Formats: sequence, structure tokens, C-alpha cells
Amino acid sequence: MIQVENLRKSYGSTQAVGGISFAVAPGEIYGLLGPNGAGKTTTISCISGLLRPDGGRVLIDGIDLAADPIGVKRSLGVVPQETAIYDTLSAAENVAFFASLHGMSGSDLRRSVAQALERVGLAADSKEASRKFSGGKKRRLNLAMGLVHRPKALLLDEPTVGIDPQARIHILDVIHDIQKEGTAILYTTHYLEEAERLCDRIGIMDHGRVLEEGTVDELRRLVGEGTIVALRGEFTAEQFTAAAGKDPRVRVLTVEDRMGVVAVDGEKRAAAEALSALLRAELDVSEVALQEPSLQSVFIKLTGRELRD
Amino acid sequence: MRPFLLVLAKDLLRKLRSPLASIAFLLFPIIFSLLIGVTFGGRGGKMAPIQVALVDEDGGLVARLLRSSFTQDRMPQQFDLRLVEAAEAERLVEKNKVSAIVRIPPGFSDSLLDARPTRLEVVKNPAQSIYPQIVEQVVKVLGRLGGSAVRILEEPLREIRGSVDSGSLPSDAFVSRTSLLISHRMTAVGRYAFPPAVRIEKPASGEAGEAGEGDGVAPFRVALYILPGMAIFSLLMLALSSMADFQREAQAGTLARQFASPVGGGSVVLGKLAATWVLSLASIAILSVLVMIWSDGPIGFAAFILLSIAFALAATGFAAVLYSLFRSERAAGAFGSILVIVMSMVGGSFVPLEMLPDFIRSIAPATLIYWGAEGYRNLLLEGAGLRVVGPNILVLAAVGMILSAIAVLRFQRRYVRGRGD
Repeated sequence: MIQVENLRKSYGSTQAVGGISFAVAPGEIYGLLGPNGAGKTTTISCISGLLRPDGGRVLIDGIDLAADPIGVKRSLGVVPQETAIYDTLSAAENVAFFASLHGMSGSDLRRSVAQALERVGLAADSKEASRKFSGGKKRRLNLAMGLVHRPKALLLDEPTVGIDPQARIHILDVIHDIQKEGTAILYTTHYLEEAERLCDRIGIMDHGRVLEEGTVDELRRLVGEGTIVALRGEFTAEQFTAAAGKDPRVRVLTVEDRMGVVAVDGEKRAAAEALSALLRAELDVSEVALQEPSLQSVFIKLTGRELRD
Repeated sequence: MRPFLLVLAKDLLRKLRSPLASIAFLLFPIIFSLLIGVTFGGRGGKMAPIQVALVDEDGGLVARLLRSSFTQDRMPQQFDLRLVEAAEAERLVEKNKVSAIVRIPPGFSDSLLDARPTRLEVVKNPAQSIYPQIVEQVVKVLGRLGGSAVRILEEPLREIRGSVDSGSLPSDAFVSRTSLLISHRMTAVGRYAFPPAVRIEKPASGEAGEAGEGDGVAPFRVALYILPGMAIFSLLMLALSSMADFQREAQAGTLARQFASPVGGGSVVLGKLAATWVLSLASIAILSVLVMIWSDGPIGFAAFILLSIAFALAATGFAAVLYSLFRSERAAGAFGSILVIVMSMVGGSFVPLEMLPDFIRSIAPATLIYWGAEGYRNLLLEGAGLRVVGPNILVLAAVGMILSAIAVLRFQRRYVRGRGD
């Protein structure tokens, strides 16, 4: 449904997206996971026709964006990162305006607006001016405006930024419902737990490139089975590497001055032993964290830094 | 066409829901004009009589005629003449009780009747600005009229003077013959000689003034003179404020959201421009109601409507081009406001063009204000029609269309094609 091939976009000499490719099937949620500045929003903007790519191809429902942008936009729903709503209009007026831009009118328009607002839990507030809404309600309205025309492909650009957990759960539930209806969903986020919970497949993105992609399990396997140990303290990268190299069960995932992450094969007991060995090597360690392989550790392995750095 | 109308309707609805800025820009020219009207025009917007001290050091026939001219027709409504001695006149000026002193020097009548050069003196009160200038202009006109009258009525005046000097009562035959002679001469030149001398209530009036004559002084006359310039200024500011919505929508993300819809980017841009145009037009329509109430003369409606459409287009184009040049709303707003104020000064919005230096008057036509304010003044105060304000309409419409086209291209380049210029 959504097919992106070798998409490239630069701003002057800065490359925002450097030749990424991925595909999202109908009924699939594909997550683009990366820190701020990774190129996620630029990718969404290129796919939605807001930015002209420097190269590559975007196809939505088999239609080439470059050849027929209006045709592509008919099949697309876009939920931007900012709450792009009109404060002085009511919830229903906001949704109706964007539905009408997609060619809806009359009873179909009214029915679709009511359904969209019902879906995001704003039916009771449909006549309320949106400026009176809480942040969570604004986010839900933002979502309703993107799905009112029942798009075949939905682009969600960090739709849960800055809202409370309850509102986030509500939005994620709605997205699950839309997925079940066969909509292809491209979902960008920098929340690991959200990506793990929601996405069928994930592309890990940094510096404008998709470094790896796959299901959550496939990505976890990139760092192997076992336990991840992250250590912080007063040591150099060389000291850490030398100490870790003394134990064959320990694989260094990433290291820099004052921080190192290792993967330890085996059970937690083995991890504890390996950790002790490292400590015995007289590293000045101030903080130790043990964890199961997760997207965080995958991200650290791929990018050399934590997602929220 | 439908997306264009949808965007237009949406923007108008938003402006209707948040009307404070529009109302403020609408009220400003009304309040300002009324304040000026009350300040300079007295109660009900009428001109208060201008206080003039007359020092008659001649006392001759022509001097008496000149004095009496201030009591003729509607002159008493405009001037309150005080016959005083020179010292008293100076004291009145010092106390700011009169706007000017008119001094008729000794021998004025004799010199005039003997066709020798003479002069009237006007001492303007330095503490006042406009009234002394009006007195000066009126005295100039009266002086010219007096000179012309003396030449036209040379023969009968000489006979009257001889009769007065002899101290004897004139015979019936003399009075009859002289009256007939004066009547014939005045009839011959009357239509050319008299109109300019009595039209000071409407400095720029013409046909409309003629029509209103006899109804007394029209209410809000001064306010009506000020209103077009201030309204033009305010409408440009309103257009700027409205067009800032481009940047606001861009920041809020709603603009991008519209461009991500299956509509041409041009429809969105044009819809937003049209909203500003309609808002400007609606404001003009509201101001027009006031104009109808204040004005007592006929107004060319076709010309008025066409000029309004053209000016709203020009204001929209001006504001749109400005906001298409700046990425920041604040920068565009600040630069635009300064530009509008400068254009208003140069173009005759704040100060009548006649009072501006020649070099400023020569550059005034380079401003939208000039074409708008002059057009409206001609319509409202001169009773002019389409033929007179036609050039104003054409210039404003052409400039408006060109600026709008440039703005549409620049907005499309920035927001639709994603070049991020």
C-alpha cells in the first residue's frame, strides 16, 4: 500500500533523508523509530506531498506521487506532529472542513464527521470550540481530522507527543481499530514502548537512514539472546573495552568515555558474573543497569547512543 | 472552484468568530475622523466660526464693502469678525482669541479705485495651524475678487464715489442709472466671478456642494473629509492583520494539512487571499453606511463600488506580497506597519496632499494610499463619477492583480512545492 523507494531529501548541504526504502502493507503498522532530527518528519512530509523529494519514488495504492499527487492524496490521511486544528472552530467544524477538502459532502459528510468524532471519543464535544480542549482532546481531534475520509493509508507523525498516559492509550486503541479495517499505517515515534506495543514492523532511523528494519523480535535478535548491561562511571572507552575483553561471554555493544553497554550471553546469573569481572578490573563504575534485549538496546547497538540522547 | 470556496468560507467563519482585530481596524477611522471633526468642526461636526480681528485703517468705500462681504451669504457661519483697533487685535492674538488679523491699510480704497497697487495684510496666529491658513486663503480670494470687481465696476463706482464725496443725496435718476449699470455688468461676469469666494465650507467641493447648497452646513463635513484617508490607512492595516493568517496557519500546521489534501495548492492560497479581500470589502461596505449618513451630496455608486473592489484587491495584494516575502509573522507585521504609515504620510492619508511639500506630492502617486484616498475624496466630496476616478480604479486593480499574482507564486513556491525559499 505504502511503498517508498530510495527516498532522498536534503536542505542545502544537510541531508535529511538519505535514500531510504520501506513498504507498508494493508492492515500493517510500520513504525519509524528514531530520535528527533532522524528524518522521520521529513520522510512523512515527502510521502504526503508537502516536500518535493530530491530523488526516489513514493507509491500509495500503486499510484506514483510524482505522477499523480492529487490521486495519491485522495488515498492518504495525514496526522501531523503538531495539533493542527483551528482553535476558533468547533470539533465538528474542524473535521468537516478537512472531510470536505477530500470531496465529501451532504449526508455522507455529516455521517463521517460524526463517526470520526465518535471513534476518538469526542462525540459529546463536537460543538465545543476546540480552543477549550485539553491537550489530550486536541490530539484526539487531530487524529479524527486525519481519518475522517477513511484513507487507505494513514501517516501518523508522533501523534501522542505531550499527552497524558490515559489519552495516549485511547489514541493507540483507535489506531489499532483502524489497522483492523485494513488501513496501512506509517507511524513515527521516539517512544520505544509505544513502537514495541503498536507496530508490526519497525524501521530504526537515524541521520536520515533506516539502519535496520524488522519485527520487534527480529530486531531484538540483532543484539543476541541474553542480558544487556549498561554501565556508567569514570572510565575511558579504552579501559572499558580492555576490561570487557577479559570475559569471552561479554560482547561490547557500544562504548564511549564514561559509558559502556555490553551484551552477556546466558542467564542473568552469567550476566552478574560478567559484571563482577568487569568491576574486578577496577573500573570506577557508578551506575549499573541490567535489562532484557529491547529496542533500546537495539537502538544503542545500531546508533551508539540512547534514543532519548 | 469548490476547494477555493471551502477555504474562503472557513477563513471567513474563523474571522467572524474572532472579530476583535477587524472591529478595531474598522472603528479606528470612524473614531479618529469624528475626533478630528469635533476638534476642528465644533458641535455636530460643523465648522465653528473662525475668529478674525479686522483692523480697518482705511474706512473707505471698498474697505466697507470688504467688511460687509464677511456678513453676506453664509460667511457669518464661517467667520466671526471683530472690528478692533490694531493694539486690541494684537492682544487678541496673544490671548489666542482670534485666528488671524486682517488689516486694511490707510488709502486702500483710494488706491484700488485709482487702479494703483495696494494690499491687504493678514497676520496669522502662530498658535494655530489650520484656521489662520483658511483666513489667508479667503482674504486672497476676496482681494482678487475685489480687484476684479473694481475693474468691472470702474465707471459706476467712480460715480458713486463722486456722489459720496460731494456729500449731497443722489438723485433718483442717478440711483436708477447706476443700479442698472451695475446690474448689467454683474450679470455679464457673475457666473465667472462669484462662486470661488463663498465656498470655503467645502474646500474641495464642486458639484456635490452645489446640490447641497441651501440645506445649511452638512453635518460631519470635516469628519467626512478626514474619513477616506484614515479608512484607507486602516484598511491596509486590516489587510496586513488578516494576511498574517498565512504565517499563523503555517506555524500551527493547518496550512500543511490543507496542502496534504487532494486539492490544488493554488486553491488554498487563492482562498486565503480571497478571505482578506472579502473582509476588506465588507469593512468598506460598513464604512460606506457611515458615508451615506454623513454625506449630503450625491455619490456615484457604480464608481464607488468599483473603486472599493479595486482598493480591496490592491490592499490584499499588498499585504499578501509582504507576507510572502517574510517568513516571520512578526517581521512582516513590523515592516508592513512601517510601510503603511510612511505611505499614509506620503500619500495624503494623514495630511491633505495640498499641505505637503512639492517633492512629497510628486512621489505620492507611487503609493496605493494616494490612489485610494484621492479616489474616495473625489467621489465623496467632489461628487465625481466614474470618468474622474476611472484611472484610480484601473491603477488599483492592476496593482492589486499583479501583487496578488506575485504573492500566489511565492506562497506556492514556499508552501506547496516545498522548496523552502
